[in-house]
Amino acid sequence: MFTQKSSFILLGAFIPFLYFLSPNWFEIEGVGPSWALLWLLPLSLEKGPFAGAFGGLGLGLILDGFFLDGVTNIPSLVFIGYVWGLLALKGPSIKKSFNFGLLAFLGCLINGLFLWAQNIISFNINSLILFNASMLHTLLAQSIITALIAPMSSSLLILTFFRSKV
Amino acid sequence: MSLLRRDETFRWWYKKKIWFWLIVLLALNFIRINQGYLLADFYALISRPFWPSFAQKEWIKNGINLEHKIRLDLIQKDNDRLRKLLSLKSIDDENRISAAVISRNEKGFWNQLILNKGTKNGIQSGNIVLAPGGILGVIDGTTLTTSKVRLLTSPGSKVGVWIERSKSHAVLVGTSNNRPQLNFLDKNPDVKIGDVISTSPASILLPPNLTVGVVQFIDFDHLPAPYALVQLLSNPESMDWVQVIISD
Repeated sequence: MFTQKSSFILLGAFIPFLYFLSPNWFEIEGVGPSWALLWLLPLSLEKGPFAGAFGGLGLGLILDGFFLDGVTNIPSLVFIGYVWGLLALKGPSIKKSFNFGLLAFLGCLINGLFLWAQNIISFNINSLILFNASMLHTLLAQSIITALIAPMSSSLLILTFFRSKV
Repeated sequence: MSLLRRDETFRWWYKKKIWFWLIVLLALNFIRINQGYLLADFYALISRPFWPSFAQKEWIKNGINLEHKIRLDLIQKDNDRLRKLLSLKSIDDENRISAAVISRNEKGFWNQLILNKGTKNGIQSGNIVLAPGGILGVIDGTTLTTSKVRLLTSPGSKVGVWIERSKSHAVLVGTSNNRPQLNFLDKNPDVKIGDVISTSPASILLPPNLTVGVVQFIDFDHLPAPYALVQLLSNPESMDWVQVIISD
């Protein structure tokens, strides 16, 4: 009934549920992976920068609806989706397991820094307390767990949704 | 001859009975000086088997608890009546809704909970969420059957509170840390480590006298105004059920 591409897009609509579910066995110190980036990585690498940016925009819109106001995912997801897509255009060698992990780690770090910066700017807290271990802890924990899952999830998603079955 | 005369003069002195009564008198005086110290201990020792049992102690405790409960109930009713007269906020039991936590993101970039009750049950944005220990957060958004809670630890959370001891006001600001920041309105706040933070009884926005936390750290040198860090009394990590105080 669904094509491979439409099934993948439909899967993206369920990403917020993974955030809500926040399974404990995927967490480091109570911080789960960035499920959005795990979905965005195979899309960007397979379909290029514009599809990546558009996917980031779509997912960002959905996530912003589910999360608290004040901080948005959209700019970071669009940026990361676009950059990943550009890197994929350089050659097929980027689509290797280790590279998936590295890209996910860097992407998650950039995404976290975007969110961290927004927290500091939009909530205008009158001290440097936001530069404390809490945000850094979240940033590193999320980046590490995302990088650990990415090689498996990205390979699986690419094989399932972007390679035509023989 | 002289010896005989002396014996005759102090004859009463050599009588044994006088010695005996003198010793008794001294002993009594000793007891008097020691305020019955030995006697009381001796009495306690011999009367130990007849002391009131623990069951009796429990009955007395239960009686005292009941009395306190009744008195608390009367004071609460009196307080509610007076608050109504002053048009201040109060909490009725009918205004409380129990809700289950169906999603928990207390760590990470968003500190939020999702509850299983929404506008259908009368929950609105701005309603206070309580857990054992005190305030947990504020409702930030609702759907028909769910509501989103912004935890006190979340960046963007700002709640007006006051310090119970000194009756001074402050704003509790979430910083994504387990310990939110208490910003004082005064440049020289009267605050000490260990002070209890609660919602103001004069508030017309928040329900009164709800405990929030305890001051753990103070930076008096911070500019432009001192701040403190507060250890919250309620812990979102262990809450499966919470109570939402809905507006009248």
